[in-house]
Amino acid sequence: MNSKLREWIWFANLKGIITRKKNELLELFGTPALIYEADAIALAKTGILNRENIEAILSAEPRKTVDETMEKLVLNNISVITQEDEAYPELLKNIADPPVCLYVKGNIEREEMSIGIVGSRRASGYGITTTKKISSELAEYGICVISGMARGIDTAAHHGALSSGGRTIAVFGCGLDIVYPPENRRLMERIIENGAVVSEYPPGTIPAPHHFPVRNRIVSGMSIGILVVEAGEKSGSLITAQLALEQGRDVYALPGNVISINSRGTNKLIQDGAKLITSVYDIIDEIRWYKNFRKNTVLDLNDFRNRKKIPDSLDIEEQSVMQMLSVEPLQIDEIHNRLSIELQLLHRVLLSLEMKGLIRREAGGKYIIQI
Amino acid sequence: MLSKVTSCGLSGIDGYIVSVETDISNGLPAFDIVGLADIAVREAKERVRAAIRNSGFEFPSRRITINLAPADLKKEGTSYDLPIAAGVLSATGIIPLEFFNNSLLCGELSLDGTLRPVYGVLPKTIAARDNEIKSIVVPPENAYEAAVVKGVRVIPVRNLSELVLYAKGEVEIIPVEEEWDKHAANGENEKEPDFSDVRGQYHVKRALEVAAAGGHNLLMIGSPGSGKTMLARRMPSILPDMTFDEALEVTKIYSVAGLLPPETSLVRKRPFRAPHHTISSVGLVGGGRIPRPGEVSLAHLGVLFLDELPEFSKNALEVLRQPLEDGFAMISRINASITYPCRTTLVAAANPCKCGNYLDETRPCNCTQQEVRNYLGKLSGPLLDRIDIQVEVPSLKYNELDEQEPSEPSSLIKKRVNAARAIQQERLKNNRIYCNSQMTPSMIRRFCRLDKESSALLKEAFSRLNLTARSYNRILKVARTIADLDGTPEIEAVHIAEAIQYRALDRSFFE
Repeated sequence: MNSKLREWIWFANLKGIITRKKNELLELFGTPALIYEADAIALAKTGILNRENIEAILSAEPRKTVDETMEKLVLNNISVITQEDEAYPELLKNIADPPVCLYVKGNIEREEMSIGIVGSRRASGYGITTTKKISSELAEYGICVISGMARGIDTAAHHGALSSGGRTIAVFGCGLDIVYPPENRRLMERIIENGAVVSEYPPGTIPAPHHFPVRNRIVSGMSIGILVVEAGEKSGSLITAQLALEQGRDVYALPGNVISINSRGTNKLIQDGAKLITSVYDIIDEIRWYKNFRKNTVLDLNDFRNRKKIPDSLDIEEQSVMQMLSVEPLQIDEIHNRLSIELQLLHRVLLSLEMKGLIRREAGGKYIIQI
Repeated sequence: MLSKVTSCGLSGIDGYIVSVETDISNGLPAFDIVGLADIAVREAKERVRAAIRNSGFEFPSRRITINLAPADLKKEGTSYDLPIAAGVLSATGIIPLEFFNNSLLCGELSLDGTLRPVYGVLPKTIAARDNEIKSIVVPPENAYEAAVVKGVRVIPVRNLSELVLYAKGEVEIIPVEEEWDKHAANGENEKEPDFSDVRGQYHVKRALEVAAAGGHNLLMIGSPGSGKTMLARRMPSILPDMTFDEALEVTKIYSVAGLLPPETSLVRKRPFRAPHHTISSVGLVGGGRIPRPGEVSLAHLGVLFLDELPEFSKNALEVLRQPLEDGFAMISRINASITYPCRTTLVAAANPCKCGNYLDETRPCNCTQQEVRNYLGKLSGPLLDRIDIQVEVPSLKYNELDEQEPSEPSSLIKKRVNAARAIQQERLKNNRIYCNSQMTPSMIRRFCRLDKESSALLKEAFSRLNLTARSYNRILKVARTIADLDGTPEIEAVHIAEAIQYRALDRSFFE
């Protein structure tokens, strides 16, 4: 371990000083070790810090706890990337308030084509399905998918990227020794194997509501563009989109049903000028000029409807149900009405299609196509 | 002078003969009632005294002792007024003693001597019949209820003077008679909620049909306004017609509960009970200081509808488990335990979350993911184990409401239900149960054999769809009912497939 690491971690974890001030201090002093050594007069001379800030820097308590933190890092196999490290992501370094240190499990690269995907925790089947599809296709292009491993869209984004063997990074709003939400333990392991989990919070930090907007600036900061999949009218995803714009990132939005409350936010983003995305190609079109874009990958760029595979082995009723279903969830009564297949037979057909993995039954007894 | 008058007490929904013995002797004037009488019975002496005087007879100012035998059972209620008054009149020689040899009396007295209706007359009449008592004297309002029991002459008496004249043979009272068949025909004409009023919702209607055919308990999950209550109210209209014995049994419960409307003979329609979710556990399964049947017994042979199931108190839902399983509710007291029958079909409805909009695309749901999980999570475990069919009720879209084509009327659905029930009764007649939902695991193994195709389907469904083990027997039972509705002796793959679709909560409702 880097001998100066102790000071870096101490500095990064100082409470009561906002990240912007920390970055200004680093610029003045050059390295946290000098700040560690500095006396009250030197600190006051900077003109950045108020009395409380200076007291925080000089207080003994954080100097003691830093050793505990270092032990936890070793224990949990977490590495630290500081602003002066090679591996610190180039894009992130250039935002207004980059984190002093990043705690990392897995590996991150300095220059990596990344797209952030954010959206509602309470996503619809439409949102989940399209997220998985776009995310897996981005991964096929060699693009790393960054998200927050929250429930809903975030989880779908990671799953999508992993499903086509791509890289994906999850940015946490808590310490890396905590799995939040807990049901994503297995997912977290897979992300570490195929990318990294990242946080600016030291191990032991529990998830708190105010961590998440701060975390989101890292999601957009590490990405060249942000895709918002489903967002309600006042959702955190819209805050992320706002941050992304401030950081000069592209904002893409997936349109949705105008009635659906899950899509009000994204439709509003499109009205405000975000790029409307109907397939992965709309994103590729925007980012293909970046120097590290792998141009040699070629993908069949069909829209959602054509991606629907209807195997020939299906019988005639199964085929007609497959023809009709889409990513728009349909109740069994609606299918029954439109196709006039007898209910009892329809039960059999739907069950068999579901077991073949071609369709999916959602909460509320609605069916959508599995793509 | 000593006289003996026969009357009747109630234990649960059955009557037992009580002998009211009156002794009038010389001594200081007194009026005592012994034989574990409760307050209402002890107060009878005031009513009896006034009623006898106001009817124009003399009340003896001597020592009167009344014994209610058997003396070790608690006597409750006001129906002993009439036998006590008759006993006093008979002990003073106004009514001939022979009159009571073959009559059972019950009724409450008003101070002017008029008879007022009492509850529990039907079981009392049945007790009279079983003890070979030839006639029963009742208030006129209770006469029709008593008259359904064959072999007992029902004498409606308006007041005490009329009783005296009748007992002396000075007036003739025509016994009330009641024909079961006559009213059965009339019952059809009554307008009750019909499934033809419900547009769309084919899937849920079908689930209700299956539930009615097999006696399966059912849970509907859907947003407010999706029509859960409307659908549940129509459930009785597709249940098979009640037989005379069933009607008698239901009427007994209503009679004991004092809920029988005056001048009604029998409850002919299957009961539909919809208690509010603030109901206590006692209100639901019965009990109280003076035990009364609860809602689950009042829904005997009918439908118990629990709207907003997760809003019921945990305690109330817990006590519901045993009655639902056993078909009777047992109320234990120190000196006796009483059972009320409650073979009812439970139809429950629940919102998908606290605000109800979780599955609704157009209205925002304010619940957090955790709240959504917890809401139906309250129901998990043993209670859900007793609910075979769980369906989601979608919100209707306008074009479905506007649909011109009329829906299938209840009478057609009922025909299919009746046919399926007949098959079940034939198959299960040696097992002392009457419908598929009551099958025990060993009966399921015997009657729900699967062919190769359907057992392969079930096996695959279990591994692919994360079905829980507890749903295995439920699926088989429901599949058996669906096959019965189809009239096929063997369970086929389509039946299994449909039954699997009725396990909404097993299919990881929330992702």
